[in-house]
Amino acid sequence: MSNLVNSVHGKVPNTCCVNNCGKGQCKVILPQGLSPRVVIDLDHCNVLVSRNATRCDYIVICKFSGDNWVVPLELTAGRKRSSKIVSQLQAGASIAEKVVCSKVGVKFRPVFAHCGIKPHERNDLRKKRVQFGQQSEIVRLIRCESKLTDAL
Amino acid sequence: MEGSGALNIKVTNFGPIVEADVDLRPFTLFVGPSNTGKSYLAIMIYALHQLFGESSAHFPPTRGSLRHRHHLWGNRPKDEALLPDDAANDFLDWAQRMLSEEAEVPNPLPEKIAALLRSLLESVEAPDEFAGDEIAHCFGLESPAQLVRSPGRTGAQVVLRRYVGTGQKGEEPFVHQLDISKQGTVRFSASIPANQPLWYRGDLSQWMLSLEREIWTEQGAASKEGQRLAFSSIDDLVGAVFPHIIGPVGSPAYYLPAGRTGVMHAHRVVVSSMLRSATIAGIRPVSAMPMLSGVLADFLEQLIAFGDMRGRKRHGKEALATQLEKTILEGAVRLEESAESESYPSFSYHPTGWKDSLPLMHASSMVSELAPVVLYLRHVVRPGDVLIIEEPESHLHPAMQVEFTRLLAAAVREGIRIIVTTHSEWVLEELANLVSASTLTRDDRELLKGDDLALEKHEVGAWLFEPEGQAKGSTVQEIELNSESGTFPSGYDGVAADLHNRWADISGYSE
Repeated sequence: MSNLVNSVHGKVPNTCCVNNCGKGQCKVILPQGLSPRVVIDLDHCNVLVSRNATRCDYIVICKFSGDNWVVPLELTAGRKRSSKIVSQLQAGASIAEKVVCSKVGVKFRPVFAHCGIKPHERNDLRKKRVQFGQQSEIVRLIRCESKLTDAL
Repeated sequence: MEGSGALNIKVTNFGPIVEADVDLRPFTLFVGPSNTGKSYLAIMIYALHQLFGESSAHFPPTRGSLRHRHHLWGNRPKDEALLPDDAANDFLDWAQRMLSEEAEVPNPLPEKIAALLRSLLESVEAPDEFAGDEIAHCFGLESPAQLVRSPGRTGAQVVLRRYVGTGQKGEEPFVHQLDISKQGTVRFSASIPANQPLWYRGDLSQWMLSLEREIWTEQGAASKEGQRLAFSSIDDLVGAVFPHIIGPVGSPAYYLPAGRTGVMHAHRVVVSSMLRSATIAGIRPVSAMPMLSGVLADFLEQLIAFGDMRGRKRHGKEALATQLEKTILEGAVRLEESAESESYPSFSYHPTGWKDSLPLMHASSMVSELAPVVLYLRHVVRPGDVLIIEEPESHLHPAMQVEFTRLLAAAVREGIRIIVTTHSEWVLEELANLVSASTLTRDDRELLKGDDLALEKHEVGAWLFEPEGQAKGSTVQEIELNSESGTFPSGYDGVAADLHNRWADISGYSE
């Protein structure tokens, strides 16, 4: 198991961890190649985030193509404003910072999975970044039902 | 009352399409990648209109329709015994009673007569060369065999289902089916459900008069000749019932092919080249003749026929044509006499506020693209007719694509049926907005955009054509409006998302 995934497993209770990513009508596929991995469901993880706090849906911490990745993931089948998407993913990134001790060599990628996004929302997303340690990344887009690796 | 009806076309093993099962709604869109069969299906629908539909009153007759040629059931000699004796007697008794009582023909037809017509309409099972020729012509192919998907083991099948109601709750449809063999034979069959009453359209009083005059007065109902005439008069009854069983496919359809801009610019050259080539037919092989697909040839033919409409009463939807000129073209499309001939048309564009008009070839490509739409709307297209437009977004700025989509929606509001093939995310998004707007009150809509244009969900069908790798062809499925995101999930936004992600990658490196 990778050191990163191993260390995160040690800090996050098993009750927070899930095998799949899906909310309502939107699912994201986690392929075999995304291994080892830990998927934290922030909606069911009061240890890391209080019930009413802003957060994204999942944090995926994994090894893929030889790299360690930290991926805050927000899913929606409906409409969502870009400002809200970014603030939720930023909250997820901040939680990830607490469970990932060393950020050296870790790749960071905030991802929004959707069933259709209006051009102006897409344009807004271009102007905003999500911070993780020293890294600052623009939100990547994938469609619901597609593979998370499409965004990595 | 006769219902408004749902209409469905199912094709199997047809061109690049493995299978498509598509409801044809007042505004139907075919979307998806290139080479997946969008135009193929659109042309097939046009071909079905040519086979089953009325010819346009404004253009030279098309090659004819099944109905007019009696290919459905009546191409047998009329003195052959068409009907079983009891059916023949039932028909004669009914007609005689109608005449003696001076009654109007009831609508729907009495069950006994309806049963007679059903059996006639279902009686054709022979291979139909005419249907095959007509379909092949529309695609510009030598044989219908070329329409059969090549990796497939069986022939192609086209099934048209017309529901009088909504098609729900197990309602049985009127079915017309074409089976195309790999050898190119086309077999036609029909199924007319016994539990559906048969309505007719139009006025049958003239038919009753001719029945009375020719059969009962001059020939005598009991005479053999009188009976023969009575049976042949069933043709007219079939003709009156046919629009009911075939639904919207019985109306004229007009096909505006991709590349119409080029035709608008070069129709003179194309026509003169074809006329020149016509003189070598018989001297050189046919392959030396220039070839056009049927839809392109029909478009060219109709374009020339506009020459005869100059100065005549306009039969189309003038308000829609004017709206298109005002909101998008910012000028008027004019139909003028050409220098060479009075009846050959010349098209020009008169920009608003200009003193002179421009020949169309000197106007922008957007004007040439939309000029035929103006002409068809102004002079030809009536409520109930079908306008098939390939790639309406061609040569249009995104803002104009949105305006044009609104105009097409307005045409649907006027009763014109629209079928488009498109690659435009803008067209889809505005259509999604128009459908979403239908959930608002009329007052709210007027506040939004200054008009109350909207389309109900059941009026719009968007169908996604996608390659199906294993089957080496494409499949088709409906994409329903996502009411939360307000979009049709066409996959076109995936291209934009890829661009977005690439830009995000680039910006990460360039920091």
